Amino acid sequence: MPLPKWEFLNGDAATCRFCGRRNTVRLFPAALAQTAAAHAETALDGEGACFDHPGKRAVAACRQCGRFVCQLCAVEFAGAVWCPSCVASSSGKARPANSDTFRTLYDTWALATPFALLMFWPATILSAPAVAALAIMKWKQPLSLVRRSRWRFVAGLAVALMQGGLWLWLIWYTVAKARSKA
Amino acid sequence: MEPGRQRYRKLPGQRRGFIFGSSVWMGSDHLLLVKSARFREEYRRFHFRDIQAIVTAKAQRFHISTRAALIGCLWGWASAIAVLSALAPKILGPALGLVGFLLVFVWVYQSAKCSCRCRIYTAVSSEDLPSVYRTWTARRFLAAVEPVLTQAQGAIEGNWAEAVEDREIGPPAAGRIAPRMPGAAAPLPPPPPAVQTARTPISLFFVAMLCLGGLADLLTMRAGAKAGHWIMMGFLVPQLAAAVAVMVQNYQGRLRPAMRNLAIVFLASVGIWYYSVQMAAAFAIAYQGAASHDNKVTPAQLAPMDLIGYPVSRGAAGGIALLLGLAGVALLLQKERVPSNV
Repeated sequence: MPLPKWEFLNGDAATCRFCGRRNTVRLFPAALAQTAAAHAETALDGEGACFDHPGKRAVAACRQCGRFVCQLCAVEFAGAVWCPSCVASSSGKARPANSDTFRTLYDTWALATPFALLMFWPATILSAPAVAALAIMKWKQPLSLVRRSRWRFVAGLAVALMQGGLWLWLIWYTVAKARSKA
Repeated sequence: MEPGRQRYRKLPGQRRGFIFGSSVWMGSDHLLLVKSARFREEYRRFHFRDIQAIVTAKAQRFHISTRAALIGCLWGWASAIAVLSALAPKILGPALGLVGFLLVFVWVYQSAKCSCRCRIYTAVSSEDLPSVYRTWTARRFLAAVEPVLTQAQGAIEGNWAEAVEDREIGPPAAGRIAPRMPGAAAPLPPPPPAVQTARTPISLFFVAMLCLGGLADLLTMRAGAKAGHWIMMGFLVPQLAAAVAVMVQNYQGRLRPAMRNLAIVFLASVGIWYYSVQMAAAFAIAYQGAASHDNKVTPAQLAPMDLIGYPVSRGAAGGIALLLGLAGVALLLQKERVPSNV
């Protein structure tokens, strides 16, 4: 929803006509910049042409694969130009150009599951190996974009191994007791 | 470490919910809005060069963070211990009641008077920043972000208010994207905004029940546990029913969101209070069992299950209800605002 114009009536401050609230507006030059629609120019004889649009003039080369790209195909990200196919495949140097919009936090799963299932402790006989497998299989999966440590994996794995060890001991103890009675 | 991974610096403000949370981080060339749902994080990026405006608007935000819930639990546990100790009725009870009253008052005041909404605009999107919901956080957030954006974009010189008068900020409105088909019927005018009020029979009943229930609980604190229990329950049932009805009326668009927020706060506080009392009772029974070295629980030991009727718990519930009732009265006395189409 665009900002209503009346918000700019009194410097940085504006009062909403609907609710009477006082707003503070910080405006930046991007708001005043003219945004012209990108259009690729036709390539003349002897000029470099776009890899995907041979009739269009190339404006840059992809940082990953070196293909020429026209104005339409050029994807600017992180201070470099990439071609659409490299961004889509997100291989090599172009990996950071393919920005994740979400991530599943397997490390949080690995930590939360063994503790949450303590309330239904018989279920830990199944959850302990499952959590251990999850922690090992997903160890190399990307974590949260803003968290760097894998301590959740380590802690979850430790608790799962402890639960598994306790179950093994309990089974061994029960079997040994039954044998001694027999 | 992942190759080419960005380093992020956390910006002021974090929304800590029981399930959902949010925070904003600063990268090398963009702001990263992180919305988390415990096992999943969603990201939105706002490049420095694209940010057109950041708007902060004062608004009521009745958010119960995990930190606030922890403080409430600590207070509940302290109350439970006070109930079990001999000093409870004389010193600890009133002191804890006062502390609880102050805690609720501070939370309500912060939520009503010191809260805001922060929204960030680019040419193609406008997004709420849920982590910036207190005014002091918004000030610190702007202080951290503004220099970076100024460095990336430069500063606007001259009278920028005139320059933006004929320019749209933020994403274009949906109606302007679709081209007008020749011969098509003229678009229907937007429906007139519904008049929302805080004064309906249901909301009046809800606020009245809160005030009367709170007063009744506080005035009958010295009454017997059984009588107090029935007095409290007598008011609690209509209070809960009225809170649900208030939420339904808000859903129907007939009641202002502020009154709905009051109902939500009331329901949440009843839940927290009931949970705290039950936890205290459980601790008391466990303590008695351990002290008597007897695994069998006698009927006398189960007495703490009736903690709901005890003066401290009744006083806490009454204080909260009265405080919320007074907040409701303030909402009812507010001037009605009729939205204009200007």
